[in-house]
Amino acid sequence: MEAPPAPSAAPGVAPVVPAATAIRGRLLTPAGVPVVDARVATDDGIYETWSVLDGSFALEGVPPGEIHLVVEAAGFQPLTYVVTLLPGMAPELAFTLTPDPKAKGRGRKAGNDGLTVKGKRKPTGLTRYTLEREILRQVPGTFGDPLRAVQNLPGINRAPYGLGVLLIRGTGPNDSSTFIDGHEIPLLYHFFAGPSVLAPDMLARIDYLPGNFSARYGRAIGGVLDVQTRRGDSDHWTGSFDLDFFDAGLFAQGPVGEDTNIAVAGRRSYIDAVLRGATAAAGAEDTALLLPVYYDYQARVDHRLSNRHKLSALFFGSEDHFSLVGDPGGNGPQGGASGRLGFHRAKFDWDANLGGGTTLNVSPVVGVDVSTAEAEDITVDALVWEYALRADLSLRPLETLTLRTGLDVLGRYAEFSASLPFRIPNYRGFPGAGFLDNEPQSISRSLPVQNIALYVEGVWSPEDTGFSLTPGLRADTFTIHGDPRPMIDPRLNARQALTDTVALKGGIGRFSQQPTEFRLDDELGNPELDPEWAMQYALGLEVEPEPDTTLSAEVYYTRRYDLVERTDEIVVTDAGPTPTRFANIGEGRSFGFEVMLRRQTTSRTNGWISYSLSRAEEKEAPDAPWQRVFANQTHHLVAVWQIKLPSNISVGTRLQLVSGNPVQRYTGATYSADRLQYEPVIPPDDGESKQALFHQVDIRVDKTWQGPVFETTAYLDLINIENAWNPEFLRYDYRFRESATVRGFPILPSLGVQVVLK
Amino acid sequence: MTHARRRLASVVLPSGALLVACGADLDDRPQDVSDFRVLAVCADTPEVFLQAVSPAGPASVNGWPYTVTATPPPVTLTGLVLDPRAPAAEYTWRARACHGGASGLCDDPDNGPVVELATGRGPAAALAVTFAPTADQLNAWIASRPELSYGSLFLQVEIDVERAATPELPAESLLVNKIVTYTYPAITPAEGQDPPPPPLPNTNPLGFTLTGRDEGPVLDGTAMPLTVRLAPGQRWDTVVTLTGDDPPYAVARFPESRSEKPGYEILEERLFLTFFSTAGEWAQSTVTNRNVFGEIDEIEATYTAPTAPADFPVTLYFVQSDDRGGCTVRPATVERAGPAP
Repeated sequence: MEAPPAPSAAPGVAPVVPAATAIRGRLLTPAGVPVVDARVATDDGIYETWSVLDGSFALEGVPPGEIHLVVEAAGFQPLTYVVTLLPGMAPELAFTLTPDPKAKGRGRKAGNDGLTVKGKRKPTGLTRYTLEREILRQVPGTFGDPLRAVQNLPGINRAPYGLGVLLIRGTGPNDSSTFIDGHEIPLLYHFFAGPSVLAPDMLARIDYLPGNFSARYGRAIGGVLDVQTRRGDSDHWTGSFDLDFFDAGLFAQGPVGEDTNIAVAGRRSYIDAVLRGATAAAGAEDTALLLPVYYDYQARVDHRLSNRHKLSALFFGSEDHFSLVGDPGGNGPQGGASGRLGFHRAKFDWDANLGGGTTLNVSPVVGVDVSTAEAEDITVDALVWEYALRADLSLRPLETLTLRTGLDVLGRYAEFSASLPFRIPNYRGFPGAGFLDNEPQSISRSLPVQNIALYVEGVWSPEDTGFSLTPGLRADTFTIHGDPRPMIDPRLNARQALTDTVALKGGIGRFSQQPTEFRLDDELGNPELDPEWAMQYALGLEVEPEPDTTLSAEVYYTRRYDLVERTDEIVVTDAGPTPTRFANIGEGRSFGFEVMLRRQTTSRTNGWISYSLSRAEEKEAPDAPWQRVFANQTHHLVAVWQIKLPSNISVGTRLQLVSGNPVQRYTGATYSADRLQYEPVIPPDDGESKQALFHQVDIRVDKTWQGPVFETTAYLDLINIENAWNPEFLRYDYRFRESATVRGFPILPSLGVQVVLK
Repeated sequence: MTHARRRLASVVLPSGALLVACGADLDDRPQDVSDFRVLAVCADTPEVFLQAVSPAGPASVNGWPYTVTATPPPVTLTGLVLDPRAPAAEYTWRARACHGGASGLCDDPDNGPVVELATGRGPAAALAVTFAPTADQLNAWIASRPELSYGSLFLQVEIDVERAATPELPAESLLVNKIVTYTYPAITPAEGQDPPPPPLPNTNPLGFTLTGRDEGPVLDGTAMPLTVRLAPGQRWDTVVTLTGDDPPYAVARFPESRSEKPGYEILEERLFLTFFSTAGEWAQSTVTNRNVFGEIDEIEATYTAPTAPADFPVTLYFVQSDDRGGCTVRPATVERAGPAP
């Protein structure tokens, strides 16, 4: 293997190239053909990545200093290469690999997963869409929040009013999981619809896996979103300050000593102060106000013990508070109301390079979720203690085989206490009567649930075939009241490179998740519930027609079964007639086609087009009719384009075209003489109807001013610039005779400023 | 509502509700009566106690399912039907009964046998139906939906009411549902539990007073006839007093956990007063004596008389109801007083 003439010097020499925390480059054969799936790593194995379809690679988070790079590719001679990184621009290297005459073949031309993969890679599944931080920050319509950009990827249904719920391939929000560095978090967005709970500067990248994901992930029958945090800068301290309509945030990163780096971030909203000020200015201090407050924090410490061992710790959390003040009109709570929703986590990592291609990561987590609400005598307190442990071992017993195995433990101890003005409905009351009671009822519950999973996965890539096979098995259990329920999930993904630029991929797998804790409660739910399951099938194609253009297309079918649904069934137990309340009687199915075309022609432009065609249905009992899933849109097209102009101006635009949501249509109403209200009649054909097309154009403009010490960027993000009248909900008159749609967001501007300490 | 729908709805609906106020202008004033309406159907009595036996023994209903052993007394249902545009219109009606089930529709085959009750024809005031199911019919309904017949059997009387066409108006119909409750009165206390209160079937509530603020008119719902004198456009701010609820009652409850025995629950009624008017405006359609935050200290209701003298006299309708099927209807007349203050 040899390095190309530019920009590097000869192999083995230590050229000085400007760099900060990343090394990027491209691997080619002497004939100029990209080399795929080559391993590029630091010699201590702490930082590693693999080249993708166009032969490119990106090694993120590498500390400045003298770096010994190791490049390994089947069929080519290995290379060690020394580069000295200095603060500044990240280097773009290019290598021409020398074929190994002893080898029978050469490097594969298609990776074993993922089309747009950049950075340190783990086996994650059949299809992975990765978005890097520098692209994420400037996607129009996101207010600079990278995690909102994920909503523009294939397979994700549009949520009403931009709610930050993950609706992947027709599944509900609880069917998909969000991870931070491999550990699940309960909440991704403040107040479900606000900014994400992670500061943008703390993100390294986001992996989105719509289905057929690796056996490393479990407890989800939908998809997975894995957010990777970044390590602090090893060279010098930098920082930034963000300000917009809603909140302000601080970020700082830098070295502490020779082997330790720190990155910290925090954010706090001030919408409450703005609302108070606005009402005071209007002389309406007595107006009832719902005052939201949110904040979040992250602190990451990385310490290098030796060339082979690294420790890191990440502390992060989020809090959402609201309070209702003022007189809401006499019928509300006297003295206001308040509530809180928060979570806090402490995560630790030990990364070890055990030599011979064997790496180990051990990562324990402890945390707590807190939910409270209070209004007069009504109180709700929910506390969930959580502990988790992941241990992931990767080894390479053969040149053509990589094995990964691990332990995934998650324990939750939920304590719930409440004083509520209604009774637990443990009787058959008058239909529609509700359960109000004069005296607040005290409710107290505790529920320990433990999940223990073992997984094993192999990646077999026979030489000179362009083929890879990834079988996996995940054996999971959830244990409640000492009764373990097994979840055995076999999975298989395969990939075949057809040409240098085209690869075929397919996957089949079983996925499972435990029912939510509430539904497993002895008194409110059914403690004998079984897991919910899904079988996922997918077949796709990955094409790289040009070096900077990638196309991924996939058809999929998912069958979900044993879904937990409410039931009126009564069973006779030793205690007597007992309501089942919930049972594994639901079923679901989704099928569709997804395509994503992404192009990064130069460093100045970037964009993608994502299109999803889908249909998702569920039925709540075996003999019930199939119904379209809420917010399942047949067509969903998103186009995002960003360009950097002269004078440090960048402009981006985003177009979204989505089929209308399925809505329930009624053909009239009956009158309930008990509730004294009209009740809608669903027509025999179930009355499925569709709202009008949703269309929205967003534009974002960024302008940066460079100073000697600071770099200042101001942005204007305009959502729905054409002020399109988009339908979100259907509303009826009290007799269900006439209906009208409730519109989505009108034109909505957001102005923000970021100041970066260089 | 299915799996994904319900999970999303729990997130979306609270947020969406905040934006509903920005929606289109739709008729959200059920209290204004200007066309064909059925305002109430009340049952006398709304609840009937059954003689029944259960696997747990003849004196207990904690067993399940039950067998009815005697035909209960009949129940009479009367309706408040009107169309202010056609006061002399003729109405026809057809009544049938079924197990209300979860869907509340007699056409739902899951809801057991449908029993035709009566058909009728006449002026609005004549709408009355007698419901007298036999023990065999009740047992057939219990067998059809035993899971919904624990403690009480809630039967639905479905009345299809049609106002006949008039020279000015085409015929119009409405399907009205009214639940009649059949309860098994014997409830066995769980171990260590006090005995339940003596069984008393639900009665229709009657006891409301609207007291005008600032020495305004007072309307006592128990007096007859009810008359209020208001000037055109006069606003009548009132404080509502609701009485007439039954004493606490017991319902059979399931075991609180799979290791405990069934018992009973003591419940208290919640009362409602629903307003209607043929002219003028009620500011609200319904008031209650309790909301989620507890007892309401001072229940308020406001009526504004019509501004046009020709709209007098106005008929107000008050429907007092409880949360277990009881209801009483009282009409009142608003007579024109002097000019608006």
